[in-house]
Amino acid sequence: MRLGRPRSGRGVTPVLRVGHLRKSYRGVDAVRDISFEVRDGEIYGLIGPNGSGKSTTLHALVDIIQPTSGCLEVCGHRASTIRAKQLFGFVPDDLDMPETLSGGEFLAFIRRLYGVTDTGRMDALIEIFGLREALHRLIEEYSHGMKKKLQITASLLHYPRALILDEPFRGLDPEAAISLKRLLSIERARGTGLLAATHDLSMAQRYCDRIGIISGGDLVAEGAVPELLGRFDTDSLEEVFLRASGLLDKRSGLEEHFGHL
Amino acid sequence: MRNTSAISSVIVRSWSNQAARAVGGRSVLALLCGLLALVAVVFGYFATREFIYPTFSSFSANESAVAILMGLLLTNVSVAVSMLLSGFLILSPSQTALDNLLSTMPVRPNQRVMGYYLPLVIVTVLTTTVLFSPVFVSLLYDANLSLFGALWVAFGLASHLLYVVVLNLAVYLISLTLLTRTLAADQSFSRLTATLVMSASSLATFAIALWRTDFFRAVAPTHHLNVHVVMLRGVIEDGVRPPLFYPAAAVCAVAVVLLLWVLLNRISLLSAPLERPAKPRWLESLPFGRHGLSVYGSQEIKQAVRHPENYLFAAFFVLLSSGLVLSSSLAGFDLDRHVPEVPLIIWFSCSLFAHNSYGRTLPAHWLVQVAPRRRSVWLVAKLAANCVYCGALAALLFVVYSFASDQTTAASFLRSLPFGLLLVLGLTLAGVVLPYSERYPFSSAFSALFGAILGLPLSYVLGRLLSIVPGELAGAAVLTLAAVVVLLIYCADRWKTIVDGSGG
Repeated sequence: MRLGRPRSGRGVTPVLRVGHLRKSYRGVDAVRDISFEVRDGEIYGLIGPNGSGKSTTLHALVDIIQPTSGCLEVCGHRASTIRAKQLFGFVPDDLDMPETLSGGEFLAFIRRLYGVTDTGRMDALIEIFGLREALHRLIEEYSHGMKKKLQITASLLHYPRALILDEPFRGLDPEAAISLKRLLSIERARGTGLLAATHDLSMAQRYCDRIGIISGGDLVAEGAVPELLGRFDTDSLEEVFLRASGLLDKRSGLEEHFGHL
Repeated sequence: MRNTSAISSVIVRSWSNQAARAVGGRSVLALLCGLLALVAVVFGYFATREFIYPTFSSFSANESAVAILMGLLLTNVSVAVSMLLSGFLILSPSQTALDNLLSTMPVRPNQRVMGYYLPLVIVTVLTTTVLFSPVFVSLLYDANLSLFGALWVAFGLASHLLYVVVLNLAVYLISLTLLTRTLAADQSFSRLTATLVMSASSLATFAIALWRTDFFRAVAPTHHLNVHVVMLRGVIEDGVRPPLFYPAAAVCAVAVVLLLWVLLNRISLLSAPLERPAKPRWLESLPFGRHGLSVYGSQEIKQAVRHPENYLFAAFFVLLSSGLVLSSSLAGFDLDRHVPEVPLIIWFSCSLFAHNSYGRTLPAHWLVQVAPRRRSVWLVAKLAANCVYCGALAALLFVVYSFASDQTTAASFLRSLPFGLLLVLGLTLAGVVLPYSERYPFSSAFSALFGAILGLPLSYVLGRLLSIVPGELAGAAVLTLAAVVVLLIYCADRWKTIVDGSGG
């Protein structure tokens, strides 16, 4: 099985750059002013409460939605350009897939669009996620976890320089989750920059090199995990998250309700 | 071109997968499809032999008449093509799973648009060929053509067909781009207006051609839609031309189509990136109840109203009808004398909205998770919502046509209501059995086309049935028929649930 390919030296330009991103829907700001960078061989975790703007940020970065203003770059190229799209892979969380294709047809289609002729990497990923038996079935018959595995496989076919993942572990069985962790480690070692939006704080604390906390459309805290723990004078990322996103006061109010239960 | 062909082939593949999934392993359905195809072929054969051939072959001997008729037919082909394209383009959802996927892939907007259009061009060309070939064959059957002449005519017609398909698409795309990019108009409004511009330009050319043709003096106007007549005349009339005429004409025909295709490609570069349309504010305030039927019913009506293909097509029907009423009033055209059974035509058009309701909310019906109720409640709500939506649209069209026709009074609406509701139920039944998916561009258009093909004989059979029943028994007959159709819908849904469950 082949997963790696030699890569030339790491560059100075960040792999992903989000600069003063703003996105509003009919006058309501979903994202106000978010800026961060993801470097070579780094895992950057984006955490925040529901509706804080994580997915909007990722969708703007991969060109599914148009930002109202701001600068989005992949390896120095504007994110909406063809060159940029050749350099990143994207694993969505809740976007529909073309469900009337079989898994095999879907992967063949993605390979054709990226111009990938070598099937070695695809075969390796198929074996890792145990997709071989399911490839001839239509995607609409897949479970959520199977779809996620297929999307992860598709996102890695073309040796991306940046990998953008929206809730990568949601829906995966323990075996697939272990495989994905190993895969992310290999990709990090290869120099791929990884941006992951997640709700899983323990996973973020353990695997992310740096973390950005989004709340109400703003990036309210950013830094390496030890740095954030030190700044908020705690040993738990949960507390950092609650305090940075302003949820701690709300939590203490909720305790009263828990008492009624 | 690699990306364009990859997108086209994946769209075609999804259609074939859907068809295979619908028919695969169900011999009854396969047999039914085969039977329908056979009936269509036999019907086409007899229609050609008994009606089309006697009508058109009588002109074969007169070369001028053939040329004039040919010119009018070529213009008429453009009208048919624009109508077919309108249906496909309006029925195609504005945002599909494929759009989302492709927006993250290294694919240019023009490659995506051309990838979508290529299968559309092929399907439109094939459908128009099937529709018009009996007429052209009848017209030229006795024209004493050599094999070369026949091949030349076939080439001329094929290049004309390609020309009008690509030309209509170019008109549509230019209008759409102007509206969305220059005027920053709403996506749905722009699609509707662009479709109307395309249909109106074809209809206007046809009307002008008809007006300026003088059969008695054998004078046919020359315009961009019948330039191929000049090519074909060479074969039909004398066959003697300079040696370079045929290659030059052939090169011209091919070059024009290619140039138009390149133009289409360039314009599609400008097509704006699509975004998920925002939910209209007034729809958010529609009432929701606590009880299963009212919750599902209001949700179904809401879905029917805000479904893009429904409101686009409804607006298209209303605007087209308004245009027809206005032009016939201005031109003093007696609609009642030339178009009988207007109420039935209205009901047939409106019932076409019923076919897609089953597939529209079935796979991801969030209410099923948050408000679990019996499946029969959901089905009843769906039928009620269909009848309300189609009935309301029909009532609106009755009002529009009442300005030009005496057939569309309030009394005639009430008289035709049972027929219309039966037709709505019939098309809903077809929608339960037939495949339907919003996941790919034009998939629902195919479903609608199939619905229309089924709806035509269905409305005829229903009309005949209701006309032979004595007046005093009409009410009971309608109720019985409605009960039978509702029972069939229930059985079909049960059967589909079992089959889908075992397949998944």
